[in-house]
Amino acid sequence: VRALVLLLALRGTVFADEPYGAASRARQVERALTALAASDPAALARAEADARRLARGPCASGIALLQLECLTTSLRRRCAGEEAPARCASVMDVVTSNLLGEERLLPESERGGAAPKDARSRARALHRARGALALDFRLRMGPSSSDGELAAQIDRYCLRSADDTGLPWQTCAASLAWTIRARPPEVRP
Amino acid sequence: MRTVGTKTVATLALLGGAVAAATATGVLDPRRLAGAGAGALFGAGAFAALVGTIAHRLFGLGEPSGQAVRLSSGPALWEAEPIILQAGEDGRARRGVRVTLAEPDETIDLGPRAQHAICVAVALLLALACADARTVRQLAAFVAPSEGGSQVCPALDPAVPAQVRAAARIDPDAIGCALVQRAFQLGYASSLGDCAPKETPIVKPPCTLRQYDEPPLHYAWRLFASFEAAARRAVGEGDFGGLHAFARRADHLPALAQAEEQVLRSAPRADRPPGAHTRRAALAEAGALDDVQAVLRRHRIAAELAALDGEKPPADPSTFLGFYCYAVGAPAARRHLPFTLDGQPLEAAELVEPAAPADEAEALRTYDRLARLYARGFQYGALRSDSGIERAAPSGVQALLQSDDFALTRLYALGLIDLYLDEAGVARRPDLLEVYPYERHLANFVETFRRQYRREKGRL
Repeated sequence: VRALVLLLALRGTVFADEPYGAASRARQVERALTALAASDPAALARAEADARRLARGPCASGIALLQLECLTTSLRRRCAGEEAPARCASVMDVVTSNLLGEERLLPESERGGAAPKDARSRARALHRARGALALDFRLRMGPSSSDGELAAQIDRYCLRSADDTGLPWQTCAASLAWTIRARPPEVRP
Repeated sequence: MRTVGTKTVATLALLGGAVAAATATGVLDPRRLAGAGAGALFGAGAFAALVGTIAHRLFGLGEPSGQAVRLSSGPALWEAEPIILQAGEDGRARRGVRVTLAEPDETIDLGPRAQHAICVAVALLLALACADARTVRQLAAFVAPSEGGSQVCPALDPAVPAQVRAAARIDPDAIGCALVQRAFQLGYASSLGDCAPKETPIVKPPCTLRQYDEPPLHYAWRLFASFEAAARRAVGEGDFGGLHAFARRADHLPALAQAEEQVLRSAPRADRPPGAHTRRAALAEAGALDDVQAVLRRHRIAAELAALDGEKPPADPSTFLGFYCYAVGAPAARRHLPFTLDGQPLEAAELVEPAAPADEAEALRTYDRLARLYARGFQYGALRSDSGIERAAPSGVQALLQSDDFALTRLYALGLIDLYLDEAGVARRPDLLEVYPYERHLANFVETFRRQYRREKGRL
């Protein structure tokens, strides 16, 4: 019994709860949907540029774990000074996840090799891939009446479709949240 | 400080380099240009218009730059931007000049027409450097060859008969002709009559080189047609003849494989004492005995036919018959059990586990053991894992996944853990297993197994 208690206590210290369980995931996605809807296009464009700059600059590393640590720390620091830190954190989370999942989202022909693809062509390919994913999601899951229901649908869809799309859950969820809720930036002439 | 597009920097640098090189080598010297002739100058202009336009389209110079560079000095305000060049006193200097790679935001970029003009100008300088009167002459000679040579058939002269005849040569040994020949040589006779040497036409094969008046396109098409005919002959009869034969044989492979391939799996219940069941009974219980015997009968017949025809005997049945036993509930063991069925020596591989996997972590290890059961040489290590050779520290991944802010970003750490190599505590987290990227690591594990199985068995 003592060993069992010790084991449970040890397990409890390492994994206090299940931050990535279904309910938590749905809450995360719902927060992201709300935050994206409340952000204006200019702020979203700034968030994208900042995340890209962080990933390519100070947080660029050949060791992926270090890069993730650096990104989460830098994002937390960036959002601490914002008017709405929670909203900023949700938006930056989606934007950074989109950035990290770009390679998986792109079709094979568009994935980066030795020479970087033209930025516009890559952006167009990403836009097409995200649009196709959102369309498939809408066709399979049907309409939703609230952000909470939509978030649960996104969670279920991304779990079920991983084998077909080859996308990690977080890439799928961030891509859908962005496509469905983020207002597109004004197109420059 | 504003940024400049990389395409603009590149094209301006190219133009500057080309102008400097042309000036230094005298390409733009008026006397040289005047001596080149109108044809050469026209050719250079046409080349520049064509090649410059192609380069402009090919390199996408009509679109804005995807990257930009920033020239800055003084304190480093854009620390996040990678530095390309730097001339300063210390590292990320507070002073000094540096060129950094920046995002294309409010970038100075040349317009598409300016880029096009620069491309044409550079191509023009290149053409002028290469083109002179001699170049034009040689090009003209190619378009309309005026004389024969090793590459062109000789010109036809209407005055010369179509068949080149051998020069008439008197035969001194012709019987009864000595007197007539002597009179002809001294001028007493105007002809040799019947003693004249017989003119034999020399029949030459038709000249397949370029005809002196043949248009270049026609000649090119003729060369292509002859190459195509030669290639068809080679594929049909020559070195590639075996390819067709192989393709014909390969058509039968699916039928053969379907008829012969029988992968049999039997799992005798572990609660029965060893030896209580013979292999034959186990196969019968699994419903596979009839199939196995049919395969062995066909193999025997094929071997007899091959012996009669003096051909190579068919492959051993063990290459297409596999027997695998996976048992649970007995002391752990892994062995190979030879047995004989209808006179044919065979072998079964057996894996015994003391208990069924209690949790996901044990199940993952069982996958590896099962894979080794089916393919003896199967190995799954860091070199084959999709998580890379430098594996992430499990403690680092666990620490990263402990928090739930920036959850989407943090979940990318899961991809760094290959469950089939080292589960690193993830297998005990049902919430993480739900979102684990199986589509990446399981797919890699299965593909590695399939490669090894195909290597050992020659099939899947």
